[in-house]
Amino acid sequence: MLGRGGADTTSGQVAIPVRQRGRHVRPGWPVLILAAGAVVLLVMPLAAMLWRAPWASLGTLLWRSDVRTSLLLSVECSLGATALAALVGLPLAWVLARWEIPGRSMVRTLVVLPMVMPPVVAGLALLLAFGRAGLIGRYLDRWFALRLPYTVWGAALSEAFVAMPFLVLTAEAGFRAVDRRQEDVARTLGARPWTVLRRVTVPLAAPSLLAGLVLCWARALGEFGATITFAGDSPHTETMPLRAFLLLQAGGTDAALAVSLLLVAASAAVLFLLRGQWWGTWRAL
Amino acid sequence: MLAAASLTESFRDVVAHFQQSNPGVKVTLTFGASSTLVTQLAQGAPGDVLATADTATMDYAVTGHSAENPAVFTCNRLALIVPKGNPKHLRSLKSLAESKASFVVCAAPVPCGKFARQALTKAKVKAGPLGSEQDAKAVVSKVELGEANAGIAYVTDADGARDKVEAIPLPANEQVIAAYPIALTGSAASGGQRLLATRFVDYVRSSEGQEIMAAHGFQTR
Repeated sequence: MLGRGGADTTSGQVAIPVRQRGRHVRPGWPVLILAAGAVVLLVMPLAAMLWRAPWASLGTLLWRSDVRTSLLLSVECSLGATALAALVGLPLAWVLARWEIPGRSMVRTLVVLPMVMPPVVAGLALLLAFGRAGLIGRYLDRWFALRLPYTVWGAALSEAFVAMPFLVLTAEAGFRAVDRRQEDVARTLGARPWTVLRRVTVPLAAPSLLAGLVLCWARALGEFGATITFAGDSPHTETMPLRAFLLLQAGGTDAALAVSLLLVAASAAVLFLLRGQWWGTWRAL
Repeated sequence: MLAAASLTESFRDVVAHFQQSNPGVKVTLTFGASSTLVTQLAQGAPGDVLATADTATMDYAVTGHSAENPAVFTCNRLALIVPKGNPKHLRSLKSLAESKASFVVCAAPVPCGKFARQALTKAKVKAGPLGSEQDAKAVVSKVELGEANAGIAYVTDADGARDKVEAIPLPANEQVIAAYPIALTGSAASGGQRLLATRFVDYVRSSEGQEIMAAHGFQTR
């Protein structure tokens, strides 16, 4: 695994930074123009938001009671969703990385599915499974009087459903990249499997695990389609993305813009945090 | 044609008849919550005619220069949408509150939601709804899916799902009447398009159009 111009941890070779390779070829004009087009396409919406933002009243808008409630709810739900995803997703990632069974690629496809599913479709599927009349939901309701739609748990579940793939894939790559020889050495020195996991594997995979958790959290924070379809719209499920949508529907464009800016700022912060990890993470995906 | 969600079945019928008597004319229908439609219209969504489920939302469009010269063309009553067979034997909002059944209503800015909340206040029901749905049809969906025991929408809304749900009109002492206005939008292109749009509005308000609305459960003003 190559670091940023540092030593290759697996084979001991020194990685040569790209700049020193001596190929200073500037791409041709057509390519540059198209590339510039891509940048414009990506930057314009963000620039438009910043241009149209109600800077003067931003503080007041963000301090509105409905925005504050949504902010708190979003933080609660996204952290809860990440915790749920970590609880079941990290063990799954470890199993996928270590257990050589034939059905492994099928399990991995299943794991990736929520990532490529349209969020509204994911919400509908969750409703059919965990709604009050759903396949599992009816028993939850009958036996435990547990209802998921219109509750904060429903919101957290829908977020966990769409965000878990990010965690599992990143963590699996992290576990996979851990040098088995280090684990073997620990075992020969007498460490039990749990100790090996705790003291060797996890610390070595830690950067990837952390990246996975942060990505998962960011995805959970921004989830809208599955949340509004499965958890619905109630005071307990109006997370920030829902709040922006509802404000837009009711003509509160300025407030919607303020909420949107906050969400974009959170996403930008995540990307900044992961800037070193980005190359490693995307190679894993 | 931008129309409130509760006009789905009736307006599909009206348009079918209109297109029959006016060969060559095509009317495209877009349904949604009245408040959403007005917001979209203000943001530049295309539309020649607008029909909303209350006069307040239409007034908002008129003030924003999105619509002109509205006229009320029909009325609707609120009803409890319940699963077919009415398993909880609900007859009124009072019985809804007493049975502690879970119910959903439209979101607050939607006319249907406004009226539902008005009716709940009128009937002195303290219990709040489970959640707010985007429009009247979404309320019906939730009852159909079994997510809520009941929903408050219009008498006409059970139309599209007759085999799964039924509508129990609210008793007179809890009832709120919704008056639906129709108007040409400010963006209706001049000339031929405007003429056709006017012709459509006139058709809706004519005795033939009114007959079709009545057949779907709407009331005359």
